[in-house]
Amino acid sequence: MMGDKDITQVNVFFQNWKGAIAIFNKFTSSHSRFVIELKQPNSGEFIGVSFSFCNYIAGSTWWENCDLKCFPWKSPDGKSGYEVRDDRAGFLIRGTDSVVIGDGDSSTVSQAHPLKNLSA
Amino acid sequence: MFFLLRLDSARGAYSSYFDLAIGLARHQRTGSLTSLENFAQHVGAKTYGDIYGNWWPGTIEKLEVNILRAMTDARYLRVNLDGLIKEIDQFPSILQKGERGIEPVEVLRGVEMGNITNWEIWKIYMTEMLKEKAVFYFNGTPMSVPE
Repeated sequence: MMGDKDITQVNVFFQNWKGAIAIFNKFTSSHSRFVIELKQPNSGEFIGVSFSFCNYIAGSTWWENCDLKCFPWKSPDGKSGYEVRDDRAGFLIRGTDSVVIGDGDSSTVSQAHPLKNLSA
Repeated sequence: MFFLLRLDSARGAYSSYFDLAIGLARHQRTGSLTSLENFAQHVGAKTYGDIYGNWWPGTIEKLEVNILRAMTDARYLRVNLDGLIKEIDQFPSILQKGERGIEPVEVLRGVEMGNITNWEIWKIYMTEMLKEKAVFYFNGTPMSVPE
């Protein structure tokens, strides 16, 4: 579950990557885990953002000039989770577990600590 | 023989006397899936999709077989290195990755990295008959790669 502080940290990370290219990278049914790649168009620098226990995804498979924002969300059965949107691109994802940035190693993303739930 | 060739053609497989374009499908600056098609137009070659009618045959094993078949029968292999390396002297890094196989083999910064193009280039480089007819392009220009 993500708290307000977690949501804030994710939004700081997204703000730093505003303007990047966003590309669908992978979906795995285990943990219902979806990965999106963010890539800087000029430097080629990239990072993955992993959304686990996601239950709704909508949007284009890639788009330029991304502007992602994270909000708290409650599932129909009352579980707390996240909703991440890029309204201009029409992208939307909702889930009830966590958002992990990169490989979860905070040293790779200095301004946005990864958010992890230690689910099995 | 003629009949068999026509059957192949009817299934959307193969026509001879073509050059095969090889390279990343996705444009590295925009993310769009037009990079290989643009390159193919630039060098007058066909893509895998042109030859077989679609890009995904159902399994990675079939994909591997189809790619090797197209490579073998192509007149020239026109290989676009753009997006794979930043400098031509980094070419050996493509071979190192390609040697690991056609399937994705690594996750970097949380992103699963595809390996098909690296594998294709490794295969070309390691197969004398394919290497002899390969032309490598970097920044749109043909050039020799490090031996």
